Formats: sequence, C-alpha cells, structure tokens
Amino acid sequence: MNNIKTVYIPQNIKEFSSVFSKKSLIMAGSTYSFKSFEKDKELKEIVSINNLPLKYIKKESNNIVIGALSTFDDIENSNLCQKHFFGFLSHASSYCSSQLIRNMATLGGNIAHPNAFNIMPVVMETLNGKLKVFDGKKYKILSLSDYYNERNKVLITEAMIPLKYDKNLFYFEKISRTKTSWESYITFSFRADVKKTKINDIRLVFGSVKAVPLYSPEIEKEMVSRDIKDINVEEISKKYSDLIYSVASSHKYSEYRKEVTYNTVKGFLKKIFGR
Amino acid sequence: MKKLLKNKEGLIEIGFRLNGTEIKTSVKPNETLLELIRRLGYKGTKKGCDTGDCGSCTIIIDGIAKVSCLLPAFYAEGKEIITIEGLGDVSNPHPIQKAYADSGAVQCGFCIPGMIMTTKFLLDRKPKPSDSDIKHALDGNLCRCTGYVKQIEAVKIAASKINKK
Amino acid sequence: MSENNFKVVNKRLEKIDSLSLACGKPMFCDDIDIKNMLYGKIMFSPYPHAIIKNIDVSKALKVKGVKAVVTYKDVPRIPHTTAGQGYPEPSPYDTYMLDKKVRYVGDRVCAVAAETLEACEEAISKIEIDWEVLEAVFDPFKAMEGKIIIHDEDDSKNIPDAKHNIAAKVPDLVMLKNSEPFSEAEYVVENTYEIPYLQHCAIEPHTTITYLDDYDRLIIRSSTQVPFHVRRIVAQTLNIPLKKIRVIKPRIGGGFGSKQEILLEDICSFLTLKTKRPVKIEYTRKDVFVSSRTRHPAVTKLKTGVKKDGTITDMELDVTLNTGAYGSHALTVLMCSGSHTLPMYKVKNNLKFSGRSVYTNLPVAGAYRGYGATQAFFALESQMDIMAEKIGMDPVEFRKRNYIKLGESSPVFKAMGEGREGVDQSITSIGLMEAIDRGLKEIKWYEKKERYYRLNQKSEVKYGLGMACMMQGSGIAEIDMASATIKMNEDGSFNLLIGATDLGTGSDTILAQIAAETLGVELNDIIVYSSDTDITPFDVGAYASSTTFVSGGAVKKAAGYVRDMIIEDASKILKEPKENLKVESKYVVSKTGKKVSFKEIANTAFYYHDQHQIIASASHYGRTSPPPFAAHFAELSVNTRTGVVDIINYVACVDCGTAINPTLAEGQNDGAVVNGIGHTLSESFEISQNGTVLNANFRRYKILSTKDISEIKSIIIPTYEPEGPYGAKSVSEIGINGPLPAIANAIYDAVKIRLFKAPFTPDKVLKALKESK
Repeated sequence: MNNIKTVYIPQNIKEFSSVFSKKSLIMAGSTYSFKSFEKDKELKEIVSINNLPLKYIKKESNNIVIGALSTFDDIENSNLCQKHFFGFLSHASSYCSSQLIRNMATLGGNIAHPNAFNIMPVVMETLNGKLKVFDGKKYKILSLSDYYNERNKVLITEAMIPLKYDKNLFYFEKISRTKTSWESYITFSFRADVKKTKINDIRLVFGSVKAVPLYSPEIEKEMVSRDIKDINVEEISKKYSDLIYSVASSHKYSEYRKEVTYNTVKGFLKKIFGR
Repeated sequence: MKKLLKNKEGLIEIGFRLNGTEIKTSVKPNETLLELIRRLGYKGTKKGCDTGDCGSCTIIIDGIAKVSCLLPAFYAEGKEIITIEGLGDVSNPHPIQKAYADSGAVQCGFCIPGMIMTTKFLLDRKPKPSDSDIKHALDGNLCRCTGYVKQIEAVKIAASKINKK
Repeated sequence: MSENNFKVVNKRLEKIDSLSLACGKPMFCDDIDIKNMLYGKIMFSPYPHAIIKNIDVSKALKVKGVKAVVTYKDVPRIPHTTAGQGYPEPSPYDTYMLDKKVRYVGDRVCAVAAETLEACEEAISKIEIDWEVLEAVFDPFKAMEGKIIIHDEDDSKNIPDAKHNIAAKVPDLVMLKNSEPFSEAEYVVENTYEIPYLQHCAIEPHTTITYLDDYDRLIIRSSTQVPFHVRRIVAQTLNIPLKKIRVIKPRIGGGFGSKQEILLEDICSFLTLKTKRPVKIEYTRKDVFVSSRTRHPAVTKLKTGVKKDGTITDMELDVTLNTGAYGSHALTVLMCSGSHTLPMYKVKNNLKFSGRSVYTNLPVAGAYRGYGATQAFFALESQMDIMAEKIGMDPVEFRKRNYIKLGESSPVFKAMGEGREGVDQSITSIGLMEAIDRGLKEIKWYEKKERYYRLNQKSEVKYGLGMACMMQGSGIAEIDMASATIKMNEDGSFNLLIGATDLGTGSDTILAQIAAETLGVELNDIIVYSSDTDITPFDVGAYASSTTFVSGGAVKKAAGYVRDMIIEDASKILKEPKENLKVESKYVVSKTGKKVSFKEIANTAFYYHDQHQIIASASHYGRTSPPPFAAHFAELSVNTRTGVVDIINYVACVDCGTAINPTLAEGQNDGAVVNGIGHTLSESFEISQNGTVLNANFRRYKILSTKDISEIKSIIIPTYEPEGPYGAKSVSEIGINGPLPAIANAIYDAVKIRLFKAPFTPDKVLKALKESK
C-alpha cells in the first residue's frame, strides 16, 4: 500500500460517485481491507466511505432497514433489532468474534467479502433480506445470491429485512472451539412460520460449510406442502445431514457436521412441531 | 470532497486530537495507527499480534474502543483519540487504573492498557454492567497471566467507584 | 504457626509495579527509542529438512538501507544449546547460530540488519538459495526407526543416539522392585494418553535490543527469563569474553517458559558487533508460534496395578516426547514428567519410569509451565479414576488413601532429578487433605453428584464433576542458586539487588516483602532492582518454580545479615547488649524500652562514627525441593447434541506453604488453571503434510477469553514449609497440571466416555459419544 497517491473521503453519495472507479479500494471498518492489501504495490487510490451517511437502523415501510456502515455492535444493541424477530438479529450479531471487532466490522463489509464464517450473509438468507446497492450512477435492489453473481462493482448501501417474518420462530447457533472463535464447525440459522397443522414457511440456513450460506429450497418445499403430522422428522434431518456431508465430504469435520446437523435439525423440528 | 494527498516525501499529512492535544503529523500510507501512536511516544499501547485478535493495541476513537493494529494511520484524520496515557497517571490515576492495580488484576501488565481502554468504553455506556456484560465487552482482550478472574473483579470495583462520584 | 505474627509477609499488598503498568508506563523491552537503531530480521526456512547448497546474498546487500546480511559462513560455528539452564546444561549441544542445514519449517536460514523493516523484508526476498531438499520425518515413533537422521553433523555433543534421533533418553529406571511386576495386582489398567503441540502465547512477543555502550561493551536488553544464562551462552556462541557483555531485563510481557531460552540474543548481538549499531529483533506473532518454543507433545503410556482394598501395587510410566528439531530441555522435561508425578502416590511393589525425547522436523519444544508434569498428570490422574471405578471405590477416598503423607518419602526423589539423579527428601509440609476437603465443600461435590445423576437421565445436556490431585517442585535441589544484596540508605530505606527475574509474576514484590519482614520495615521502604548482570548478583532465573523458594531464601539470608549489622550498630549507640535488641517498625528497640531509629543508625554509619556502609550479600540453594500440592475440582456440562463441553465451575485448592502475597499466589493459580483449561478444550497446533504450522496466529489458535470462563476459584490452603522463607513453597506452575485430568474425569462422570487425546474438542467428544452407543 506504499504507492498510494490519494485517500478520498466522500461525505455523500454524489461525491462518492465521482470517485467510484474499478481501481480504487473501498475501506470501511478496516477489519479486512487494510491488512489484506498492506503489501500491494499497485494500489494507487483508496476511497474511505466512513463519512457516508450509511450508519442507521430504522423501520421503513414493511422493512427493518440497516445502513451498510452499521457495525455488529450497532445491530446487537439496536432497540429495533432486539425487539423484532424475537431479537434474532441482535443475538446473531453478538456471535461475531470480539467486542473490538464488533465495534469495527460493518454489515456491508461482512457481506462484500464472502467468507464461510461470516455471519451477516447467513442472517440475510434466513430472513430473505435484500440489498440496496449503488453502481456509481443509480441504485438497485438485489437478493444476496444476485449480489454474489453481480459482475459489476457495486457499493452496498443498506440491507432491507422484511417485517413479515417478525413473528416467526428463530434459532441461531455458531458451534466453535471457543466462544470468540471466528472459525466455526458449522453455523445454524433457522426460521419457521408454523400455524397449527401446517408450516407456512421455513428456512434452514447453514453457514461455515461453503463460501456462501447453504440452504435447500427442495427440502423446505417438502415440509411446506404437507401436514405437520405427516412429516417424518428423522427423514428430513437425514436429508439435511447428507446434504451437509456431500457439500464437503473430504473436509476434516465432515463427519462431525453430518452428526450435529442431524441432531440439531431433528431437535429444532421436534420443538416447533410440539413433539 | 475531502482528500488526503501524498506530499513530496511520499507521506500523507493528517491532523487529529490525541489525549486532548492537537497533533499534526505525516504518515506512511501503509503505516498502522498502532505504529503511529507508538512512534509519537505513547508506548502504553502494545503490539501483541498485529492481526486484531489480542486487543493489546486497543484505543478509544471518537468514543469507541477499536484495535489500532488493523487501522491505517491516516484513519486518525479528524478523530478524537484516547490512549492509556490519556486516562490518568501514577500521581493521579483514573479510577479504572487504580481498581486494576489494587485488585491483583495486573500481572505482567502487557494486556492491561488495552483491557483498561475497553473497560472505559464499557463503563461509559453501561455504568452498572452485569458479569456477562463485562465478559462480553472484554472478550477481545486476551490475557494469559491472570485467567481474567481478578480483572473482572477490578471492572466491578471500578464501576462502583465511578458510580459513587 | 508463626504466620499469625507476620507484618509484611502473607499480606495482600499491591504489586509494586501494578499502578505504573496500569498507567501504560514505557517499561517493556520495545518501549524505548534508541538513536541510530537498525531492525534485524531472520529469514526462516520454508522446508522441514534441507541443505543450503549455495546461498547468494549479493542482491540483498544492494537493497537500500541494508547494513548487513549474515549466513552460516559469517558466524562462528559453535555447538550449543539454547536452553536457559545452569552450566553444564543438561541439554544436547545441537544448535548453531546459523547452519548449512535447516531442520524444520521456521528454522533460521540467515539474518538481515537494515534501516527499516521493509528494507529487511525486501532483502530477504532477494536472497537466492540453492536448496537440496531432504526427506523429512514428523512422527517420533517413525523418527526412532532411524531412516532419516536429523542430526547427522559430527560436531554436536551429548546426543545419546543421533542415529535414531534420540535427543534424550531414560532407559528403564526401576525405582522399586519388591515382586514380579503386576503379580499381586487384582486389576491391571493400561492406557496411552496424548497431548499435541501447544504454545505459551505470552502476549508480548520475543523482543531483543542489543547495542554497544561507550566502553564498547555489548549491552543486551531482552525480554528474557534467564539473563545470566543469556550472558554466558552469548559469550559462548559469539566467542567473546563474558565480561564484555551486560544483560538487562526490562518488564516482560509473560514468558511461561518460552523465554527461558537464548532465542534472539545471539544473532542480534552478532548483528550489533558487525554493524557497530544498535539492532532490534522483534518476533511477529507467527514467528513466536513457529520459531520460538512450544510444549513437548507427548505420548504417555501408563500401566498400573491395583487391589480391591485400594492398594496401588505397580506403576510403570513410559513417556515419549516429541522434542522437535533441537533438543532444548529434552532431557529435563522428560525427567520431570516422572520426578514431579510419580512420588504423588504410594506404590507397594514396583515402580518404573522409562522415556525418550525424539527429534522430528517440527517446531522446537522447550520449557513450558508444568514442564513434563502436565503431560504425565493427564495420564496419572485420569488413571486414578479408572482404577477407582474398577475396584468400586470412591475416587476421592482412593486418592486420600494413597497419596504421600507428611514425613514420608518416595524412591523417586533420589532416583530422578532434573537432568540427573535427584535428591532424597521426605515431605516436610503438605496440606492436601485440607485442599481436597475444602474443594469438595466449595464445589458441593456429593450434593451435586446426586443431583446430576438424576438430572442426566432425561437431559440432552449432561453434567459431571471430576477431580485431580497434583504436585510440582520448588526449584531444583542442589542445583538452582540465587543471591541477593541489600544495602541501607540514610533515611532507613534499603536497596534490594536481586538476580531473580520478574516476568509479571510479582517476584520483585514478594522478595521485597520477605526483605521487609526480616528487616522490620514496610514494603515501600524496599527499593527493588533486579535482573541486570552487571549490578545484581547471580540468579539462575525464573524457572522450575524456584523464585519464591530459592531466591526468597537468599533474600531472607541477606536481610538477616543486614539486620544483624543494624543491631550491632544500634547496640553501640544505645550501649545495650545485642541480646536485648530487635528490629521493629524501622526502629531498633530494646527490652529496656530504649530505642533508636534506622535513620539515626544509618546516618551514624555514613557520617559520624566508625563510618561504613551497612550492606550484605547472601546466596542460597535448596537442599530439597519441597513440592506444593493441589486438589482441583471441575464441574461441567457436555452437550450430547453438539459435543460442546462447558466448564461451569472450577475450584483449585493449592498448598504452597505460606503464601508470601496471597493475592499474587491466587493470581498465579487462576492464570495457570485457565491456561490448562485452554489446553484441554481448545488449543493445538495444526500441522500440514510438509511440517508447516497452519494456525500460527491468535485467530486460529484460540486461547481462552473472558467469555470462555465461568466460575474459577483459587483457594490458598496455608501450611508451613520449614525449608522455605517464612514457610513458603512455590506456586506458579502447579495449577496448569489439573485441568486436563480433572476435566477428563468430569466428562466421564457426565457421559461415561473416556478421552485420551487432548484437546477435547466438540468433534472428538461427539465421535466418542457416537461410538459408545
């Protein structure tokens, strides 16, 4: 990074668009970009987006809207995030490494640099969240997978989490060696909308197994189309555990993940079905 | 738009407040904030890992505790920074410093400045923290000497002393 | 006993450097700015086993700012050990400052000194080497086959069997043989226990600064536990006179054994001598993990025989240590795994120890808190529970019945020392019964066992309790020596000069407390200066839990001589016989009521009459090494869905004789316990197929944080050790020996699975649970 000529610090989106080019490195919380490019000699420009007005958490139409510069700590301690979704957003954020990293790492950064262990992508998929992005000229709304497939460079400005899932049941667990590990064996992030004898909607997301969060619309569809009493919990659990195993069967912990996925999905389903 | 430019010597000029004093200095683009702080003579902030995992480089920037080894030096531009030296001195220690010293929470002392800065951050926003609040806030400050037992006690003592005032 | 009358000793006084450290004072090695200083950097080997056929540094020398690039061709070739031990060091002389051969990924290749770190890194990238890559061996048992020889050089010394990569060995050491082995045993239990590579993770990385003073003497300022050994070994490896070297130890950010080593001082000094400029070498965190020192990974085989009535009939301990590429501490850690564990319990018929430390092409193992006892207690204390279950006896009763009692001895003491034969001794203080009973009460052992037995029937999360007993040593008998000098100032204060090394343990403070107690003054009347080879008298350094017991003994002696001199002078001033006089609160007081202040005595001595400096020195070494004892109790939960083990409560009761400073003693114990729990639940090196450490950072090698500990309680059980200063023994190491077995026993209590390989990570636990069904 020794050959940098300029650090731009735009104060608003208009200024940002004037310097937004493919060559510049965007820096926000600094938990990732600075150290990653420390030895890079080609980099000429940095755009520090910390002064952009993207640090907010609010309710807008039928969404909880979280600005991309919100940190894990902001999300963990936000009244809105504690109140809605039974505190799922706040609870999941608290799993992020350590207080100091939670104070620095941003929602946008956590999504922009995909890594198996990142929490925000998992949370977004669980809640069918959408991303509002800026491509230098205009805004777009993208799903998470669209964002990961997006070829052009875009800036994440906010996440939009639909409030329609507000009264769903949630489960979040990150299993690791210690309570502040960044790595984990596997991350479970489940959501279910259960009414008497039917599942209206269910989303079981698994983190730490692939670079992007993993879930199976096929297995979910199976559960949604049937009466609860006709669902064989052991069978569904085995489908998930086989799926997790097959994704990375040669991985050191593939047997462990298989076993613990089976146990956890089974436990979750039994609980929400009242068995 | 605000810009930081390299000068003739290839350095970036920045201005910020450090422990209440205005600082104007020039930094290398790839210098970390930790290196800058130590270079300016504030040796209390330590380098334990340089990867943001041990917390011994913790400082407070605009009221928030952050690890300075992950931040570029030019990040300090326009900010209000407090290091351990800015909290208090031996002749007039901050209640948190005194509580740590009194409780046997200081063994080798290397992690302590970082711990104390995070403690200040915690007590500023949660004057009456529970045990789990304390553990949650200090989870990024590693210590190998104390097992954290007396340090958690020290935070509670500091909280009660500050609340009395 | 006399502890009730202590005025300074056994008091919870604030450590003398606590407040300064809490205020961020610049007291550590790297906290000074030296003019004209160069940065030194070592180039490390990318191969686990290779020979440098050709090394070309010409391009490196041309890099702007580079002042020196040194290879094996430039430095003296002097076989030595890096182990900070007394001379003659009981470790093989198998290390060279720089060598033509590299023996692990992370071994030294060459070194650079330059104006900036970037220039160093650029220079290193421009060094061109023709390597002859050799086959490497990573498993000690394979290494012993001798197909690949790691130390094939002919100038190394004291390697027992280089052809089979044996760095140290203890062939069958039979310490008791009253019958045919296991002939009287009603049950025979045989198991193998394993621990992996572990690192100390002291938060301050190794740092050394060297420079030449105005007299052209070499000054070494280093984060070291062993300043005097540094001086001697640097003199040896650089081939310069010892009197030209001064070693100064500033505040150290933790050591735990990793700084009981001459790791950077030799090469840093060499660069200073070559460039005539100050040089600083600072290890990065990765360097500390890979290229400093580690614990010895161990495969421990324990075969024991037991009778239904609770008698332990036979005990055979066999230890295989992986010592890595060099044999630093190879013999002594091996011996301590037996000498600090086997005396614990009485064995009726047969007692045998055997072991070996084996070279592999992996990071170098060295001294680490516990020093072999940690590895062996995992085996011994797990096996105590296994045996108790076999004979249907309460594991608490089984231990109480068998542990070594006051006045008793063990053949182990004479047979096994540290590196050589030991010293016969009997137990002169022990509070283990009280430690056990207190711990049982504190953790509510029996009440909870009953409750959990019922609860576990229907719960996915199962709870268990486990215990372990342990011992360590207090210095190395007849070997470790310490000394102290005390001089009086005219205001009645004293300077205490000690070689003893404070690495954050608080030894400066407790040694000052001992001096203050003897002299009848307060702690803040003692000005401590320590660990400077020019000014302070000799001390072996901080290791083997020797500071309180041995250095404390020297301080007490020296203070006693000074007190005698004060009384002598007072007797003349008061015109009273010495027998009437004693020291008290900075006065000499007489039975008759007359008194004279220290201030007056000192002024008289300096200025008025028969002028002299009141000053005395004394040395001390232990004739014995009285063990501290401890009983640990762990309460935990095992989640049978995820395999996650959570420690709920941990009680560690320790008998360290008189705790000179109870707060500091508890602190040492707390830290050792949490370190041990880290070993048990989380820590281990991950090593690739070609010997590279993959998790050499705090992100992936996780030590415990505040969130990982729930309730940890250290309780000091007071006893009085007649051989120790004011009844003190040691305390700093013993606590780390408990967690592995106590937690293994608690896991068995909870879910009836027995784990033999640390760490007990969720995947291992879940696998064992599945296999037991």
